Amino acid sequence: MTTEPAADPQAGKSWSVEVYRFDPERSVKGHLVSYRVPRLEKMTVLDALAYIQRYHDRSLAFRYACRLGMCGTCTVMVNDIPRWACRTSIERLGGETIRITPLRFLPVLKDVLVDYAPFFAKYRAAEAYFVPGEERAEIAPISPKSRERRAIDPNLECITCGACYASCTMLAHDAEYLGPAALNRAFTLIRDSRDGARAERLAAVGGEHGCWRCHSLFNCTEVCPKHLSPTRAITGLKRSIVLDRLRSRLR
Amino acid sequence: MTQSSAPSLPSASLPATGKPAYLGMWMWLLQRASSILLMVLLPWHWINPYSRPVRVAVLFFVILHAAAGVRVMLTDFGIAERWHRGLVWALTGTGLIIFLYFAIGYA
Repeated sequence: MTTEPAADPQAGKSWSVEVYRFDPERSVKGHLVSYRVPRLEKMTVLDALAYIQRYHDRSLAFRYACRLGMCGTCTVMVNDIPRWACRTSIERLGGETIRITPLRFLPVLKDVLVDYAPFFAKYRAAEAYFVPGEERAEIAPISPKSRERRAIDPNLECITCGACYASCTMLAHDAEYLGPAALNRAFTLIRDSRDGARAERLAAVGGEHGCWRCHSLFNCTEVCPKHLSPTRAITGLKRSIVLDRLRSRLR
Repeated sequence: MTQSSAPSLPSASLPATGKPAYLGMWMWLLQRASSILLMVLLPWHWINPYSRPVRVAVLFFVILHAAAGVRVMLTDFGIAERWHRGLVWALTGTGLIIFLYFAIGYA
């Protein structure tokens, strides 16, 4: 084990960090363990997790990759709010104690490490992947000022961190609900003129566990670190389904 | 040699430190709670139509329930998606004014 640094954490000069610990090989239930972490300048939640792993318990499991807010893999619940660990300043959170727990509604593999498989399975269920509408030799010209682009742009650049998914209360009620991230992606594809699976995708997202489950609470919008609005996308999907059904009746 | 300090992060680059208010969720919960209360208050009002406290309570919860419903309708029509928090406060304020007007004047 690495020796702890000379400036040992002391009361008043350190934070109390409660971390959810769970080892499926040792117990069936997790519990919170409190650690003292020294106050360092611009310290983030990810720094605190790394400190605990290095100086307190090497077996602590958590996930991260880029460490600068690009990949979203370090997303955890910080004081019950889903946040990117690498971009969450502990000092800015306020308070002397922070609580780090795994993302809600995803199976916990170990400690604060979750399995994203159900999250991405819902992308497949929502058919949230591009299906080319027609063979093209050249790049499709779509003006940035076009109505299509203006509809899609506010919902692009999702990095699938799962923050919206963990904040959605509907998933507590219906575990099969497709969730804000998959529906957000489906919306951007449905409004894309190059896509060729509009009808199939609308049928997929309009099912029992699809967009109609959303109660427009805007929880996903409030926590999205990329400032996207999945609620906007979901209401857009609802309108697309209604309008398509009306058009088919009028034909 | 001058030691260069680490570049400071502007506040905007720390996107995940603000605390969400979850106003939409509270509005939704209040709508559900008011619907259950109205199921009790409306029959009570029909049995005893001249009770002022019951009339005021019915008025309050009907306006609260309607304000929450208007929020969902406007959201579904794609209105106020960007200022959903402001919409909650605007509807709450409007509802309160309507409630006070009728509670003081008529109820």
